[in-house]
Amino acid sequence: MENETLDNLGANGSGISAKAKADLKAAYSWVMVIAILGFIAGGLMALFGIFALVASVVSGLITIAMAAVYIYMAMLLLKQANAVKNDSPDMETFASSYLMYWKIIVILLILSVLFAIISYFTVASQVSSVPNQFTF
Amino acid sequence: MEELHNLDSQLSDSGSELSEKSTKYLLEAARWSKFLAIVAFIGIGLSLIITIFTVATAASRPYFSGYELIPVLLTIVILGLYFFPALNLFNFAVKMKNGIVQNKAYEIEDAFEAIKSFFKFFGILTIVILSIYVLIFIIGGMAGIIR
Repeated sequence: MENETLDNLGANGSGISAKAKADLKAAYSWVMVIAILGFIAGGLMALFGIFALVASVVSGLITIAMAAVYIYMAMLLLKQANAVKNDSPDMETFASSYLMYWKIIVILLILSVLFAIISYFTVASQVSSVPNQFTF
Repeated sequence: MEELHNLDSQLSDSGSELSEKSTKYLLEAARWSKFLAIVAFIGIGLSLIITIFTVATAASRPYFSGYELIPVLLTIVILGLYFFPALNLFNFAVKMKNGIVQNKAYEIEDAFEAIKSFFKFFGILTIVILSIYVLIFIIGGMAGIIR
């Protein structure tokens, strides 16, 4: 059903109004701000990761990997902003980078929830294996 | 209803076209956004329940003072800050899907307005949080110098 509708849209095209264009253009400056801050945060994190390599290779590499994800997300935001800043927005570029941005956020969310569950059970099993010293 | 359709067609005429690829990307983005928004709503709801439960437990104690409500109020404010972007995401997802599937330009327009509101809110919040960090850094530095 949805695919049929999509096919119709493909033939006719769905219009985006002047107001929608104006909204996207207004979002552009804010997206740009967030992208720039993302680049700064990613850069600082990468620098921190390089220094952390000296102390622990694993934590350093994890920090550098996280910084790479941050920088990639900032790049996607920049791509979105550049796609809609003109009067004739490049909707294909905007939509593809917008989709990728949300996909990464959802994947990161799922990973962090899994990580939290694993850490919870790891800590819980360690605590239960330690004999209770406070019982007499 | 007819007025709405007329308005819709006027909007479509004045706007540019969304290609098949773009509509597919936007539909998929709407699905992911909806998932994220629902997860955020559940998270906010659970946090609110835990907060209320904590307050109720604390209030039943005889030595309960009003000051204990400060972190609770702060939690509610933070949850409120999470609620609005989640609502914008949800609105984007619903309106974009309706707009594309039913070919309604005004729904697509509302979806893009939700995107604008989301990024505006996110941008302002980021600037405010960074300003607070800078302020804490300056106050901390000044306190160190005075000492």
